[in-house]
Amino acid sequence: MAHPAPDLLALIALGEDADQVSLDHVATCRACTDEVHTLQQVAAVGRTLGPADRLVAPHPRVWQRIASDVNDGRVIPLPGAVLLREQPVVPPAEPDPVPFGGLPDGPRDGAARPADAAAAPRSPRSRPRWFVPALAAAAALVVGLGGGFALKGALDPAPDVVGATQLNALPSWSGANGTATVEEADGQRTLVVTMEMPAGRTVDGRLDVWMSDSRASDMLLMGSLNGLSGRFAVPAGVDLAAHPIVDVSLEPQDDPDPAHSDVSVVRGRLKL
Amino acid sequence: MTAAPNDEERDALVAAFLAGDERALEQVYRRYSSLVYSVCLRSLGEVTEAEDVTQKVFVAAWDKRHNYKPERASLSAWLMGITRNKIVDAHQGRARQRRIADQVASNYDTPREPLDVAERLIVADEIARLDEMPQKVLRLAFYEDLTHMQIAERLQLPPGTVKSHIRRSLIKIRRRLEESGDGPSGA
Repeated sequence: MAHPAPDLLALIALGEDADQVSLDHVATCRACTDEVHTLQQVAAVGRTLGPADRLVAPHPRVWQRIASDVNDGRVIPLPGAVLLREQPVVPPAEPDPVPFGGLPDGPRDGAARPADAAAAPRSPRSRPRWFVPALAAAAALVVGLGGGFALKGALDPAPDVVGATQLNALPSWSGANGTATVEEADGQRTLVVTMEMPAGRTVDGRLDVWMSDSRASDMLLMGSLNGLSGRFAVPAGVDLAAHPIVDVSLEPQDDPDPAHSDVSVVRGRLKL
Repeated sequence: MTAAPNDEERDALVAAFLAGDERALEQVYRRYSSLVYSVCLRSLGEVTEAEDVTQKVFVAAWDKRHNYKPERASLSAWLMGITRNKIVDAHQGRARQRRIADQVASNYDTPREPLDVAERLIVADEIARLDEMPQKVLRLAFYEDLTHMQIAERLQLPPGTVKSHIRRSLIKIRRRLEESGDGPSGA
């Protein structure tokens, strides 16, 4: 006889009863046996699934780290939609999308301290600003890009990145991390630093950003982070190759001593 | 019809990936990161480690993309191969650092663990991607053990429609397993 209808083979694979003629055929026909057998295996796995068997999307920071790794720290927009099967991934809430490169308010002078002694108010958000634009906005931005990977956040042409590094946590700050990049536009270099602190860890003091040589003998104070990020003008005379270490240190709130407190939170070496 | 990638789209993605187009990496991540991450999470049991291994998998896939031969395996199967290796590395790293209690460690002894987990997650994912009616039909067949006639009555559908949904859904899931390298025929 001809093979049974494909629909019937599927039912047989599920264990439903069928007429004897069809069953006999399946038993003796190689092609039908194989078909039923493979469908049975699918059903077998399907039947044993439990509530733990579902796909979970990873936190957006995983993509950030991958993008950072493969692009030597150049800032990359997030994929717009990494969806859970049951519900969309909701990134940590960020009310306003911020142009890449950190906060728009105030690059600080190269090695000078801010004139007022009061530290910049700590940002209520403990996440770096470039982390997550609203999901829809990110998707729209990604779709709108013609080519190239740098997000043209503030409508300016993307600056050249002349150096970049991950910032890794010092031992007692496990979980902290960040990135530092040096951009160059119109002859001006800017050090851009963003950081992330582990959940539950507060910053009691000011986070100062330093550039130094490998032996920490020549340390240049670039400025203080505004919250967990900052942009600092790099003076023309600074040789990046001679000061490749970017260090973020925690300075007590009213510390009169301008020297490095010796409490480094994260550090990295610029790849130039 | 759910928006499953068709063959042309997949081939284009692979070509772009191999050519070093970073947007292709982004697409690959979008498509497969949940599967990779979920397998890692199930095998390693810890979010931080699962995130870490997931990161390693995609960075390795990018760095070693010249090793990927499309004619030999699907991208999914290749990624799962990398995932398995990285999970094994992570387990070995753990054993060295003695970070987990012995009774937990013994659960992770079998090297087949990531393979089984991937198979289950792929099937779960494919079922979840089915359109609403075929999905309902399949769930009734799997989890309430109803015959197609009983399903037809429960859902007020023609029996022929129910049979057709069952067959198509099983075949879809089977195809996905095969292309992931965990196919029933290859198991």
